[in-house]
Amino acid sequence: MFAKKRFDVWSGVTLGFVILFGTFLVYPMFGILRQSVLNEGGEFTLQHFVKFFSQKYYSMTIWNSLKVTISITLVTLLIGIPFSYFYTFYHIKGSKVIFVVSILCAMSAPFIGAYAWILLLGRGGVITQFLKNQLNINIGSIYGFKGILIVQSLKLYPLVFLYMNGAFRNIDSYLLEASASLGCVGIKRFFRVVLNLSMPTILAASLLVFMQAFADFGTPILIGEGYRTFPVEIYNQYLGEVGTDYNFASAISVIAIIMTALVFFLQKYATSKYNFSMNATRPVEKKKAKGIRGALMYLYCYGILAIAFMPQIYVSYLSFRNSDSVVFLEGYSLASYRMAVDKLLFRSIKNTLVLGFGALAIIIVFSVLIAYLVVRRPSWINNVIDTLSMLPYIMPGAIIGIALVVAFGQPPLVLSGTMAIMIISFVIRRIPYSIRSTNAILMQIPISVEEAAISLGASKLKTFVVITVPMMVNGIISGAILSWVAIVTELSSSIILYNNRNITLTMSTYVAISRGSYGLACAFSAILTLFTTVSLLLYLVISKTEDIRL
Amino acid sequence: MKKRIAKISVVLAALLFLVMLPLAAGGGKEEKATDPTAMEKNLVLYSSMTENDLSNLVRLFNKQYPDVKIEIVNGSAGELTSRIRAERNNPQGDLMWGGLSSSDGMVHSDLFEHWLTEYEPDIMPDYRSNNGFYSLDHLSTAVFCVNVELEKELGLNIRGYKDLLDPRLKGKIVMPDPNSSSSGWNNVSNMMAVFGHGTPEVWDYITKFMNNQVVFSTASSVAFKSVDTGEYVVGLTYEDGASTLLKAGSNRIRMVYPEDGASASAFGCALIAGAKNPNAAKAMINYLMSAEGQSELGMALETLRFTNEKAVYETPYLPASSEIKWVTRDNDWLIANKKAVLEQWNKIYANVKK
Repeated sequence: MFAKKRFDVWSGVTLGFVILFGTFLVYPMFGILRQSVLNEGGEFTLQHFVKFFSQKYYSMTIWNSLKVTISITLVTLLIGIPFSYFYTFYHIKGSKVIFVVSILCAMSAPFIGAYAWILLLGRGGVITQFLKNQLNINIGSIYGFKGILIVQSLKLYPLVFLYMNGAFRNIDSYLLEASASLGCVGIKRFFRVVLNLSMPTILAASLLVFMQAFADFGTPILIGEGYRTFPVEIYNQYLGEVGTDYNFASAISVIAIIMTALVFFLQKYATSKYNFSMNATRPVEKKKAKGIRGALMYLYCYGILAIAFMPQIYVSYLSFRNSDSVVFLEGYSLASYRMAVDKLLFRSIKNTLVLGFGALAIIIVFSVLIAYLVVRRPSWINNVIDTLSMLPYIMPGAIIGIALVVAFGQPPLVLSGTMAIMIISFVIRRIPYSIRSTNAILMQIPISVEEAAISLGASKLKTFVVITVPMMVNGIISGAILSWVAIVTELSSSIILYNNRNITLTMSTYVAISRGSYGLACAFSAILTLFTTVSLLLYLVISKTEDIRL
Repeated sequence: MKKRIAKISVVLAALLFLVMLPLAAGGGKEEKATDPTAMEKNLVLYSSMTENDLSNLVRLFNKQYPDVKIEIVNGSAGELTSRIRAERNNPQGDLMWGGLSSSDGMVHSDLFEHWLTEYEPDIMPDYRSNNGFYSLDHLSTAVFCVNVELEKELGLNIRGYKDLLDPRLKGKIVMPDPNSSSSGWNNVSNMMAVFGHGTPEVWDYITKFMNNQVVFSTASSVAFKSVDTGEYVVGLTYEDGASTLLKAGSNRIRMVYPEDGASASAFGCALIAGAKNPNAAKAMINYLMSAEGQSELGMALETLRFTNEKAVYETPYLPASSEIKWVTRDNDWLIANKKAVLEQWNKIYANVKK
């Protein structure tokens, strides 16, 4: 009786989503597709695609992006898997610190890392200069491929860590004991049993890292130098000086989406090879980390952590140094912060809060409703909504930015430069992640309780509000914190959509960095870091949890 | 029962849709001045100029118009004109200063109000508006910014273009990308003026130049600031940027006017089409073009050459015009061939990068 098809409240919700998604997702995307095959006179042409593939200047951007992204994905796995293994299987002192700091690294805005590494390891960086002057060692340049790889790997390995932590905890200790009794122990067991058992998670983490690294704009533009990647190229085509070429930018976008879609399906295919589920009846017990091996584990975990977190600490330290906007001077003061106040600091914070909470509220409401539609009331149209909502997952942020500008820069609906367009972009960017997690939560809740409520005479709406939503709350909150931080540090679509009215803290930081006002940039970075740190700590204290769903 | 549910659901659907509308309306509200000639209380200035330029302009302008609150949106020239284009139907800025060069021609004709100040006859004849909507207020000469310590370390004495081909400078020269930065294009234009517009010689030089692994940056400020901090040895940049460092007391850099010849682009300001604060914007453009404004600003900045013949100021951080070897640019050629030049430029770049 529950799934009977007739027009009710939920059909209305479905209708609402069809309209919303049609207006704010399909229509802009269609716009990009249309632009990519039109010439300046508005006639059909494939010239932009021909131009892209026939001129190495452009086509190399995609290959560069692929190369660096694949390298980043591999390196994050290499760092993150052992890290997580030690964390999950051994007692390491200060594991709470490891956990919190790792998340902080993952949540920091990537371009702050890039900026800090330039200050540390750039040609004129402190470490570079120290090595050169004191020890006469020339370490070369951090720019280009190397720089992007270092910055992104150090930012993204915590994602692998968090994912793998979950997978490792689900490994049944009986399985490990069984393999030990068959003579498979140590490193051999790690590769043959542990890694195999966690393969679906490894693949899932790889996809997440790939998508984030592939679409990242802030890192390559700051530290990439001559290493041109495609999000930067889209931005250049859109914001370049020589007659902005929307059409060409759109064509690059379409090519990029095809690439990410391929990777997405490849990952799905690979995952289907590992179709099993685990649920530990007896999780693995943590062992003591002793002796030299133990010391090495400590060194590894804390070493990685220190390197990954150093940029943020260094930038925060610099924010208190005196500077004359070009170089840092002796002595300490709050001058950089005073300057930040003049540079729209308060408006940026206010906007960040308004936009952040606004977008977050919409995201939560939407994903709960969509999860309900998809899980409890499957129908072809609800499945279409579900699939559509996944679309932004494979769309780099810069593309969403351009799509929105093209679609809502002209009548009938002019939204460019408004708060609304920022909120729309945040919601679009984040909703695929949020819907995945709410879907998963709802699937774990048995339907029987809701049926009981309805059979006792409660309306469907009442049942949903009073029974279903409260059961989902814990999962929703843990997903919300990630959405929140992702929104607060969003750069790649905001860079195209922002202006002085709807500017966010992240944008102010980026503008200060890109204009080369060193003290100011550090002050904004420090405030942004503080912002994410406080958000996370508040969440951990309020929810009293040590678990964060991704 | 069924009817009621249908009703509720339609209302719900409508509500969902309406969630967005108040948000949409929120950003666009602006108070319209009742008197069309009255000075507005706000002014949004889009600018690619340096911090030194902007803080002085705001201070001086506010001395005359204390009630106008100025907000600045900083960015590269390309970035700002693209924003203005994207915001065409809901303009957020009132005027743009800097990055708009006489070599743009009519490219941005639809973005700006076709309006010029009454000071146009006072401007040096070479720099009067050539498109009817750019008010060209200052000159920007292409120069090299050289880090003196690193130069000494490498045993170099950089004087002209051929010195940039020295293998010791491999990977140590920075230049703003002419595709996105007006000062990058300014430097390409100077190469054209020195080696001949579009001649085989100039392309030969550019190929060798790029083969020295020149680094291209998106923002023009990198080409002088990063030279100062020692990231690069040489930056191809512009007078105003590099001399601002000298004014700030840097002894790490020097400015080199290429011995083969230097030339300048005229840069200016323009009123954004549909600006919400047109009167305040016009007042600022008037100020920037008047002899009085240019004199005041010139004295305060000490790093910028202006275009009004009647302006009186000193530029202690710039060499006298007579000490520089000047070459002439063919502006019409540059306007007509900008796209082709950049395409060729990018082709060479792609081949060098492999």
